[in-house]
Formats: sequence, structure tokens, C-alpha cells
Amino acid sequence: MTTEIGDSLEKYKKKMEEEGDDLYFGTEELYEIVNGRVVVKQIPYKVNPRIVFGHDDSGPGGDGSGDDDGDDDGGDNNGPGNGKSKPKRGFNKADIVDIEKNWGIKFTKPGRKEKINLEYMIARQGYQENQDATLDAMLERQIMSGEFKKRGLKIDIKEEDIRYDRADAKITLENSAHFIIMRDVSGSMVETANLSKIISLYVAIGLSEMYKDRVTRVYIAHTDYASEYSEEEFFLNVMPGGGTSFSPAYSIINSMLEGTSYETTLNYPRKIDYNTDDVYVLHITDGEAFDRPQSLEEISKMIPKITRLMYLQIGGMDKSFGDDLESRFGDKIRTSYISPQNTMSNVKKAVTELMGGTNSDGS
Amino acid sequence: MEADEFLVKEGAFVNDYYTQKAREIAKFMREKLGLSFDNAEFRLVNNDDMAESMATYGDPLPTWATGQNYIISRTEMMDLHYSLYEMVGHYTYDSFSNGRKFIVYINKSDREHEILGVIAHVYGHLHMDKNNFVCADNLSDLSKHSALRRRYRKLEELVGSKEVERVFDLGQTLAGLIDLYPTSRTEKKQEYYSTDKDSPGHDEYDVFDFVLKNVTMLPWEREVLEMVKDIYSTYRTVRVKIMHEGFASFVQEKYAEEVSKTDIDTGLKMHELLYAIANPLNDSQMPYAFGLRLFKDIEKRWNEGKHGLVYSQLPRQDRLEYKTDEKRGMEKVLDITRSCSDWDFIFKYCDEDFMDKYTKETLDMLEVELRREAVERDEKYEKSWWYKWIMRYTRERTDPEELKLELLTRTESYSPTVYIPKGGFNNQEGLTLKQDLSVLDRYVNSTDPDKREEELAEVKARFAEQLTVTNGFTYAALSRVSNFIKLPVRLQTIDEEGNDITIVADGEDVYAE
Repeated sequence: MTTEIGDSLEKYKKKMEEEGDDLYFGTEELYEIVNGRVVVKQIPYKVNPRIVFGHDDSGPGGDGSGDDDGDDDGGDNNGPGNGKSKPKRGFNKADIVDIEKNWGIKFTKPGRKEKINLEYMIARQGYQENQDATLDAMLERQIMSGEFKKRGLKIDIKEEDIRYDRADAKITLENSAHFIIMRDVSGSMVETANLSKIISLYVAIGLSEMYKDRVTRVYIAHTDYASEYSEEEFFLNVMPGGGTSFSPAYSIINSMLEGTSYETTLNYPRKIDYNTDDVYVLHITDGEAFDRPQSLEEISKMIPKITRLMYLQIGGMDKSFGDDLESRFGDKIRTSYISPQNTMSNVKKAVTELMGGTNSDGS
Repeated sequence: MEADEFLVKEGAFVNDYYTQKAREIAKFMREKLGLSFDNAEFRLVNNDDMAESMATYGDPLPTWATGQNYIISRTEMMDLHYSLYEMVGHYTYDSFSNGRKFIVYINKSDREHEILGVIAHVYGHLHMDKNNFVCADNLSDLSKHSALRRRYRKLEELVGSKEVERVFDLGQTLAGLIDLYPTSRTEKKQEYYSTDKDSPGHDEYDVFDFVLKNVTMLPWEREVLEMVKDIYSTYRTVRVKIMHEGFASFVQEKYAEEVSKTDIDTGLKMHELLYAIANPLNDSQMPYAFGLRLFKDIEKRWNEGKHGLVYSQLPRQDRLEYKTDEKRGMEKVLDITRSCSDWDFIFKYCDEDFMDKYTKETLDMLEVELRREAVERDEKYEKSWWYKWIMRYTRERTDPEELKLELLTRTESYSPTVYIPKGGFNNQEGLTLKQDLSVLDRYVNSTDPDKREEELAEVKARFAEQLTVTNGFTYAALSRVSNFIKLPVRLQTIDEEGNDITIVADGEDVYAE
């Protein structure tokens, strides 16, 4: 992009945000985006109103405020007589991050752990050049770029072709994180399943922005029984139903942190190295559990090892569990209570409250 | 050919192969077809750059609208894989020829025959830009646009981006009220020493200009509005959209025929490409499809002498068999490119025989398409206006004049002509606007004033659906203007049944009188 277009893209995004044309993303769309794919959606299309040909039934008598854009009235967003179809655009992770920034979320890491990541750059870095491998790489490049077809083989080694025998380690100082999404899938949560998935995906995208994509997502679904699931199963296949208790789910997290075995549908139980990784836990429930004392016990074991526990209660009258958590564990807890309607304002409220602010108490 | 003519560049480097080809095509266009055009520089660009050029072409100021256009074009090309083949940009000063040089963007991800076909197509556009009376004086200079951008950014620094944007938005609304076609009217304006107290002293067609001169505003607001007016004044070319695309496709086909003489494979591919673009089944491709076929029909008619008074008086069967060896087809086509706008082009040259042929071809294509996709006709195309259009014509034998008017109002997709009648700006009634319905005069034959009134009312009812502006967009626009000038705005127009109505925006509400 050159300077001609300048900051007009930012201005457009800001205008969309200010005029309340929130884009609604469904679970499947966010699921695609969180996995690095682009989702193409119809977008609210702003056009300044003009006198144009055509008739619609909106009739005169709008509010006449002057800020009223005609696209709200015309039925077809492009205005009558324009003949264009509704425009679409692609959204990726960066766009969702922009949306979250516009909600006022600051992406600051609460954790302070640092980890040395060793990346073995076998192909491109190291010492002791392997000339055969280099020639192969050069040939491959020429074939792929079409040069070979055009002018045949020509020895023309470029820097990118050089291969080495001995790998060199690239050291980066970046911390990474584990994001544990724990969803209550009991019978009372059937209707809010989509809302909870959407919120968890927004939080996941926010965290991956903070940690530059070094976030491992872990999925736990619980009723009065809990198990770890794969991402696909968790979002698309887990069927709700049954009673609710929290302690089995929290005990799975404790097992992960300690490296002991636990219930999982994956091939191997997971071990989370909490000394080097930040650990975030998002618990989505309606707050109606019958084993609170046991759960609080499990949580008090878990809290010193994790960075933040985000407790989201959708619906449910009783807020005492969240309040209990806040009073006992203070800074490491973020709580949010929202109504069960699947609306953008609910999503916005929950994500802002769960991710908002910074936590100075990383361990 | 000059050494600097028709360079094809990729980044900073000249692509020798395509430059040579571009020059060959230019030679063919000039010498064999008789086209004339200015110098051009073809730039092979990627999708992202193409999207940016698209966005800044129509809206050169760095506003949210440009951002929106950019992101939509980019998505269409990069995520939805629509292909945009070319874009003829604005011109710059060409120091070698001491004239104009157009910057043409061509998508470099296209295949060779596509790029060559597209270059041929572009020469058609360049010919129109140089010769057509609507386009010729109506082009914009690239360097002016960068100056406007700089000034706009400076104003943003001085008064804040939000404020400037507010005025820009108003400017876009007023842009629908620019007098795009001043040459089409020859009424005498007010006498210089007139004592007439009316304001305006004559019918004022440039409402934007009138607002700039008569409404109190801050200097920077005036400056932003002037910039917007300057940019949108070049939109006159919307009135030659069908001819522009039709003629470019027409010469593209001529080039494909030329290539077919020596290389049948490439020639066929070029034809395929052309007819995929000029596809009458697609709403947005209507100007290409309709324009190309009409130009071909005109060429054939003038080659075979099928025109003029004698021919038009023949019975239909005789007309089909009539043929002389006149061979004036290309000459006539070039003549039309110079002297017509879409309105003359369609009303003068689109006759009933052509309409029959066009609708038959479209319906045949539709049958093939439907057989391939196995869907019900109405289900797939019921929202498409061309489909309704053709069905009305074939089933009900609608008056072709109605269809012509609908085609023009839809493809022009700019605002209708609106003017301030003499004395239409005063403190009692605010600003009065009137929709110019003079286009209907062509359907009124009587000379007796009373009968004329009756006939006009009848004609209004007939064309009301095509000409009415009673929609949410119009109401919002009037409301916005009223808020800015702090006076009521009235628009005298017709409703969807052809009755005269006045829409009033009084700053608080919009209602019909």
C-alpha cells in the first residue's frame, strides 16, 4: 500500500465502529478466523445519501437529523437504482483484534514469565554448507518460479538456496501461554452454547495477539463429569446435557499443571509447564453448581500456578460464586455477568470485562 | 511510433515483450480501424495495487469512503477471486509528446492472451476519452489529485479529521446536484444589468455551485466542498458508460479476429474471454453486453445499407432481405463514438429488430445456463432487473421506449438532473428544487398547450416507475442539505404513479405535500 490511500482504511474502520454497525461473527466464522483463515462476509456498506432514481416503501418522514444515512432506509444498502450487489470483505485475525481494540481493550500481558524458545533452523541457518542440498534447493526454486522451463538449467545460486549440514539454534525470548477454555455444557446451558463459544473465541484471538500466536488452546467441557476435548469436538460436536459440578473440571487443570493423568478424549494427557508459560483459564457457566466447597479447594490449589482466571456467568441469578472468587483470590480473577441473549453488546461487555485492565501480579 | 509510446512497465522496468505487442496493437487500431488516442503507460500490477488504484481513482481524497472502496476491491480480488483485468486511470503530463499520457493498470496475474486482449480493450477506452464529446474535456489530472490529497490532510491537521469528514460527507450528498451536462441546455441566462430581485434569476442547474455561492460557511468548509465538487465534476462520463464499455469490447473483438487469422487458438481464447465479460446474463455486465452487441449491429446495418428513410418504410419481411454493399459500418461506429452520449446512442440506434435479436440471444444463453445448473429460471434470476426487463419485453411486448429509459436510468446510476427554478431560493419557502423531466418531451407530440398538458400527464404515469425518486436515499439527502443550509428544502417531483408531489425536508422531518 502506498501513501495515496494513507490512513483511509483506519478512518473507515473507525466510522463503522462509531456508527454502531457492529459486524456479527458466528461461531463457525470465528472458528475459521482463530485458525488463521480468512472469512468473507457481507459488510454494512456506507454511502452518503443522494437524490437517486427508484422507489421504495420507506416513505418520507425520517428523523431528519441530518446524520441519518440513507442506507438505513433504502432496503438495498447501495441505494435504489444503484444496481450493485451488497459488498463483501474478508476478515482475518488482525481485523478481529482491531475490533477488540476499538472496544477499548489494551493488549498488555499480565504475566512476566520468560521462556527461551529454541528454534532449529535446519534448512537456512547453521554452518558447514551442504553443496548437494544447496544445488537441489536452487533447482527447486528455478522449477517453481518457471525459470527452468523458460531457459533451462543455469547455475545461479542465491542466498536463499544455501543449505547447511549443521543446524544453528535461533534463540528468542518470548513467553508463550496456555489458554484453557472450560465450558459448562449442562442442560441449563443449551441455549447459551453459541454465545459462550463466540466469547471464548474472541478472548482466544485477543490472547494470541498478546503472545504473538504462541498460545496453546486447551478445551475442557464439563457437566458433573469433565473431560478434555480436541478443538473441533469442543466447538462442533460436544452435546450439552446433564447436571453441573465444577470440581472435576478444575481438578483436570490441576492434573495438567502437575503432570498427573486425567480424563481426556485426546491420545495423551497434557502437561503444562507453568514455570515457563503463562496460563489463562476461562470458565463459562451459569453459576449453578452443587459442589462449591470442593471447587474452591481445587481453585485455591490452582491459583498460584496460573496467570488469570476469567469467570464468565451467562444468565443465572446467583452471583455468589464469582464474588467468592474475587474476594478470596483478588487480582488474579476477572469476572463478568451477562444476560443469555446472543447479542453483540453482550459479547462486547463480556470480552471487555474479562480482558480489560492489566494485572501486575504475574508470578 | 515514438520511442516512449505505449510502454508496458513492471515496477520500474520496461517489459520489452508486452511493449512490443502493445505497439503492434496500437498500430492495428490506428491504421486498420481508424482509432485515435493519446499516449498511455501500461503498468502491470498485483491485486493489492490494483485495489488501491481502483479506490483512489473515484475518491482520491484520503477519506473513509476510499478505505471502504479499497477493502471491498481487495476482498473481491484476493478472497473471492474476481478478476479485474484493467483500469484506465487519470492522465499525467507527457513531456515527450507535450501532451497527455494515461496511466493504465493491468493485472499482472493474467495470462498472456488476457493481457493482450485487455490492451486492445484499453485502446477502445482511450479512443473514447480523446474523441467523445462528453469525455474529452472531462478528464482529471493525476498531479492535481495529489495536490488535493495534501491539502485535505493539511485541513485535517488544522481543524480535526472528524470535522473535515463531516463536510466531506455533505459534499458527497451535494455531488448529486452538480450540473454534469451544462452543454445540453442553451437557455438564456439572466441579463447582467437585470433589476429582477428573484434568486436565482434563472433556472439554476448547478445546485452545488449555487450552495457554495449563497450559503454562509467557514472558509475551510468551502474549501473541502470545492475539492469534492472538483472531483465529482468528472463523473459526466457516467453518461457514456454503455458506449465506453461497448466500444472497448467492440475493438477488442476486432483484435481477436485479427489474431485468429494467424493463430486460431489464441484468437479463440480471446473471444472466450470477451464473451465471458460481455455476458448479458449478469446485471453488472450489462453495459459491456448491450453496448458491444449494439455496436456490432450498427456496423452490420451500415455495411449492408440497412438504414435511412427508404429502409425504414419497408415492410418487415422486406427489411430482413434488404441488402446493399455500402460498407460504411466502421465509419458510422467511429462517428457515433465522437458525437453521441448513451442517451442518443440508445434512443437513436436501438431499434425493435435489435431488441428482438438481443432478447432472443439472452434467452438462448439462459436456457443453456439453466440446463447446466439445473435450477428453476425464476428462482435464480427473479431478483435480477435485466431478467424482469427481458421477460416483460418478450411476454407482454412492452414498449421498447420504456425499457430504454429504464436501461439508461439504471446504468447511469448517478443522480437525476435537478435544478432550482427561477426565484426558488427565498426566506419564506427556503430552497426549492425541481426534477428535470424534459426527457419526457420526446414522447409528447401535440402542439396545442392544453392537449400537451394531458399528454404529459399520461407520459409521466407511463414512465413514473423509471423516473420517480421517492426513496429513503432521496429523503435522507434532502434532510442533510436542509440541515446544512438551515432552511427548508423542497423537491418537486413525481411519485411512483406519476402524480406531481413535493417532498419537504424542514430540518426536523421529511414529508410529502
